[in-house]
Amino acid sequence: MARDVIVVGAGPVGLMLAGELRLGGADVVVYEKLLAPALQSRGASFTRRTAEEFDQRGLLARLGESEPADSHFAGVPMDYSLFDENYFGVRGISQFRTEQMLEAWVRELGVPVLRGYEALGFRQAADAVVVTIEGPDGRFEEAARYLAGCDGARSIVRAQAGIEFTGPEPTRGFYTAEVTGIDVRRRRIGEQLPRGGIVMAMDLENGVTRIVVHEKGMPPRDKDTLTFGEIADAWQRLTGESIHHARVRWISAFTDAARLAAEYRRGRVFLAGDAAHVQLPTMAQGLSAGVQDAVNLGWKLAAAVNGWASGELLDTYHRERHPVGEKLMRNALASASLRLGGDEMQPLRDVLGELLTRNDAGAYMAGLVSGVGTRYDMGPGEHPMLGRRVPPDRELVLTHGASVRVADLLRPARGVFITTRPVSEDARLVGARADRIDVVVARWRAQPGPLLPDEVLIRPDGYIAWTAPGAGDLAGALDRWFGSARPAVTRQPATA
Amino acid sequence: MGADVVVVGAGPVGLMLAGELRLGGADVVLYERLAAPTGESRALGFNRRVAESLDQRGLLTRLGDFRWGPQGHFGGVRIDLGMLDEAHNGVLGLPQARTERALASWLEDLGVRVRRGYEATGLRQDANGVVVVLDGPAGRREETASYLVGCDGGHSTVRALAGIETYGWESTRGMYTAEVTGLEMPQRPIGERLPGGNMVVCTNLGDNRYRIVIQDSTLPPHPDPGALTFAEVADAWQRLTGDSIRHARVLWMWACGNAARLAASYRRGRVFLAGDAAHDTPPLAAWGLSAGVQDAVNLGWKLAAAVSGRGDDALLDSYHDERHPVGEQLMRNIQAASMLYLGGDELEPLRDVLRELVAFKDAAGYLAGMVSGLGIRYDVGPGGHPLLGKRMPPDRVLLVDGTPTRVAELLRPARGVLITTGSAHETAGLAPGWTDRVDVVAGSWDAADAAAAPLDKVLIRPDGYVAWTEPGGGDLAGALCRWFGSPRAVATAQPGTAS
Repeated sequence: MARDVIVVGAGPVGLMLAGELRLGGADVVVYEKLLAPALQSRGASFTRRTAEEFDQRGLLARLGESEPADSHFAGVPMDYSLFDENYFGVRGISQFRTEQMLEAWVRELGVPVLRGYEALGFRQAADAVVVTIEGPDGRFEEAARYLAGCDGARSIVRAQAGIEFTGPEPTRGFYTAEVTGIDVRRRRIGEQLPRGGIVMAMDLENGVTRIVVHEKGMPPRDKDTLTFGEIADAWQRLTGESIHHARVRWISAFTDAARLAAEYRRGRVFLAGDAAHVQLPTMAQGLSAGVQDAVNLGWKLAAAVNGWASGELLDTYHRERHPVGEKLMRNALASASLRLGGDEMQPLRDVLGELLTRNDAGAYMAGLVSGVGTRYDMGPGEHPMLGRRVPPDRELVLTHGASVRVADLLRPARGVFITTRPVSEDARLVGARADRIDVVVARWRAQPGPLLPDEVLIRPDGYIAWTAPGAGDLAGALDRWFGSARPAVTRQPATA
Repeated sequence: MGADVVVVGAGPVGLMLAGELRLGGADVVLYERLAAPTGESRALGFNRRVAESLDQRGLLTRLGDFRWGPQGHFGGVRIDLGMLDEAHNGVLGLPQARTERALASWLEDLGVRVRRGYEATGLRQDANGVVVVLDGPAGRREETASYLVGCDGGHSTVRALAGIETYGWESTRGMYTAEVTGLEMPQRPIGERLPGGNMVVCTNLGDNRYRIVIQDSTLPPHPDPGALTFAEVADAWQRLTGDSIRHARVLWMWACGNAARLAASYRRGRVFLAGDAAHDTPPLAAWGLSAGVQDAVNLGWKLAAAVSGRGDDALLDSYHDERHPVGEQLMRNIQAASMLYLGGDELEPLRDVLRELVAFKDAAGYLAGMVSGLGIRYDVGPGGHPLLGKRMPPDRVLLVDGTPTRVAELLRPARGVLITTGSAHETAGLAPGWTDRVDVVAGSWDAADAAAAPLDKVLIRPDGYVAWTEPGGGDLAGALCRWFGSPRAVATAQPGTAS
């Protein structure tokens, strides 16, 4: 029997997507090429919106201790205290820890995460996609209704789907290493050097230090022939400090390549995370956007599997997330120019820094970098919160007086309809979709932050699809995001 | 016979300064190296604040026909001036030579002595004055004055003679400017960016004359700018645009680099620097000229006050304190804007980020304020009024005895102006010891200004900047002393009998 969804890749994006799909009721399996999770950490932080999306599923608490992240754009410091919601994200959590947490969650939900299985290719049929997989016991085919490629920058799924992945040619090379036993000054967000280039030294866990080196003019470099000696030499040239004595855990090289998939969907095949967008790792943008891709896609695919997705719901994944990928790429390229160009870029950094102290421009950039500013097109309506994420920390007072956080209402990854009126035409319309939307009769507690409307329809990913006052027709919004009402069969509940 | 002030250099900055000094009552003499104006116009127009400064002295009408237009970009990043609350348009397409002629005619009316064909070759100063050595048509002469101001351009002799250090950067690339005639050329107005960090500009000046600017990343700074040939200019134009202009007649041409120098100090003792002598930057959208004219307007009334014994050393120091940061910002902005203009395609993502930020009103207003000069705020002491330290909008209308009067008109004599919306009775007692240098004007703000922050009283410096307000500006007597010197003794006799 065919699966609902096959996810290729058990990085944070694939795992998040699998969990979202399972919460939505889909039968999902994750195939991962690597036998064991990679030890090295690519990112050690994520943005505020990604933290919020973890929070919405009760996952933030599972990550343990974290700290607020440094806030900057392209090395230009940003003062988040200017804005209503005043931190950029969290740091101090290695990607390894995030993956461990997500894998445990997904397994708890009953999703098989099969390691040592490589997707080799697939073919699309009318009602299914058939994936060829090579595992420890040989090669086999498995059919599913949908296939999601979360298999990274060199995505097999993307290549096999023939989806273009384009961007400017990389011009700069970077070395990176994870080492222990060095005592250099920490440069957490990276130190831009007067003559160009950058050095970064950031503590991970258990005494491990992550370093990154780029010397101005250093071209992309084949990582297979790279030695730690070269990295240490470059470090010494730029900083005067010797790290040759370090114990080396892992070394690699990367480039400033920025590429974006032309389509996030082709038929029954979807791309998310690095498979859809790669850019110079900076400000935790790639990982964070990838997780948000997964959260955007998960409930939509689950709805399709459950048979209530409208015809265009699956297309809104590309429509909503591809522009985010474009900005991601643009920001990374702009950031590279500013950060790596040496002192001659200082005047532009200063001008940018001054613009970012203007409240309107600064808040916009803070929203872009933190992910909190993302706004999806929900159709007509003028409420400023329409299409934006509902702040998960906001609280509602229920009719019996108890309080509940929005994040907690979103735990089951279902729609949420908040209203002050238990009986109304609106409530009746929503009630006809009670299998996918929870109705919560409550009022907003007075809290700092943007004004929220009395009636709100929230999608499972936490975005506001409809408001009253301030948006149009509820029935239209419900049809669009939650499908048509189930047939009015009055099923008697089994005697309680 | 000595003068109060010797100004060296009869470019727009020196001319403006000489006029401001004369308005302030100083005896001023202006020396210029060139026997006659070159007729060349390196800058075409100036920013909003310069236009306002000219308006304050009634000089706009002397310019003849000119066109207001948006100086609406920063290094090619467009600023939508239309969304701002105030007009930021500047004066466009006005040849510098015409501006200079207008200022020269003003000086003639004011009776300022202008001596052409003299080059400053030496100076010495002591506690009592400064002696300038000048070589001219009639040989060498020495001029003694209380103060000397060098408005003698980027290669300022006065700056060198005074031993004032500069800092900045060297040229890395060359740039050609030329005015040509005798052909038809397509307009390339704010600079057309070409691949590889090159740029060309072509401005139609009318009368079949065109101004062209060429920035070519492969062009080294010209080894001998004086020996520039039109063939070199035409070659570069053809290389970048594909068009031949060889058959054009060249009116004048100019090779320069992208070096910039800022004087470490705008004042040394009795010697001051203004304009390019203080901040020599590569030409870009008349930013340098605009800053220079504003230097002159800032310095003029202060030096005039010192000459008349009412301005103390702190007032003279405020020239450097107020204008040097503007010079630093100019250098920074020229660098940033040139980078945006002339950087290659790899900067396109960064330009895109800036375009996006500048779509926001506050950000647009900030950038526009730097370009137009309207954003300048001097430190005039504590206070909370939004106008404090900023220029008083010259178009605000005050009803004086029912007659609508623009603020610009009140500033014509280049004296201080204290405006009060209180009664005429109160007016007499407001600044009794300063009425010889501050005009006290009673009136009421035109209803059209109702949206502005409440402004019951405002003290405006001769350069048009707000020194004190009520509400929001602290102690009036303190502000008057700081900017206008100690009060003179006021006779306690009853008015009405004196003659």
